[in-house]
Amino acid sequence: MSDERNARLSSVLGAAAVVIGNVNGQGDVEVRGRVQGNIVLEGRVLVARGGIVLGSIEALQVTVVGAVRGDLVASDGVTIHASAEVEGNIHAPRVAIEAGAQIRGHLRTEPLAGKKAEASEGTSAEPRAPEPRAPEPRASEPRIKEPRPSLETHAPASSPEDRPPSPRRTRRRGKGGSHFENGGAVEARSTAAGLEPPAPRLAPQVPAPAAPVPAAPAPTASSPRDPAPRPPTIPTFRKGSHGHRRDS
Amino acid sequence: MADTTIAAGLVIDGNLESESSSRIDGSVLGRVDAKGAVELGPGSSVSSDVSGERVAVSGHVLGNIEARQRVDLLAGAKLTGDVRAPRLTIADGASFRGKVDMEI
Repeated sequence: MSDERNARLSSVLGAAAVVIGNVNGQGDVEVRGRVQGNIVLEGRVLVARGGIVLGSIEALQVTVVGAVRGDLVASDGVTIHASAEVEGNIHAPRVAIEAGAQIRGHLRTEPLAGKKAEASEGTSAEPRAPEPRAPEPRASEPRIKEPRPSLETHAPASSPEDRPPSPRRTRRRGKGGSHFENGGAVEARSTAAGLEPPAPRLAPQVPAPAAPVPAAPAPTASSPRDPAPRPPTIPTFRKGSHGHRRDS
Repeated sequence: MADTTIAAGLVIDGNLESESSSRIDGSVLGRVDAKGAVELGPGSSVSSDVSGERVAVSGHVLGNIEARQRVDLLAGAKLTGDVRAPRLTIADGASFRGKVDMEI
């Protein structure tokens, strides 16, 4: 395979060159100059130091040492060096970013074929690539994981446990970052609170009488969530509402 | 060694401008404008005008060629367009259809 790559034709767009238009075809390309257009190649693209690409790059492998203003899509991997400036989204199964690189965009470490089914089961183990995985993808991902509650509970590439999908869980999406650190704790709270009616979300005072109804751990488990202690105080009822409470 | 090398199999869907020299073995579906030498290898194809300091053609050009120094149409070249250059050579085996203006 490496012999094939060595024999692959290699093009160089010199530092003094400007391409106004797209670059397509086969072979490898090293951009030392400027490309004002997209690059779609069945090969490797290297944007060398001083090279500028104003357009997207779609190739087998993309290595950026210069600047790119456009998306990077690679079926193999993307490597971004410390001197690089990338303004665009990155989508590749493996992404390596050196410290110091300046990047602005969304990052997805998924194989290109799985682009359509982002939250599908196929990506549960695979995209947790062994390569350096930037923390951005997970922080921006949780909103997609709604139909797959098992994915939310695990950061490392281990097989996700099957948890009973509780409707409470999806509301926890907002605390995306906490999935890593307090994954267990979040689950404990939501599972315990799962037996309660959704009233706690809407009016903190209302569930106080509902607390004793489910299991005993409920009040203690949900105490961190509720800043005030939860004694059976008299809640503030609206007129006629008590007749509609589910616990009664 | 040219500053810019477009290998065979690469297609530039647009114009190529260079402050230096270029060697093209692929396809350019637009103009090639260079301040230095332009070498169009066999198998290359340019679909529009070519300009440079010196232009040596071994491939296909469908456009005019303008050079500040010289134009050489080598064997295997196929030019459909005009030539403007102070010096011109057309090798045996080159194909040419167009006008020549040597600005004497």
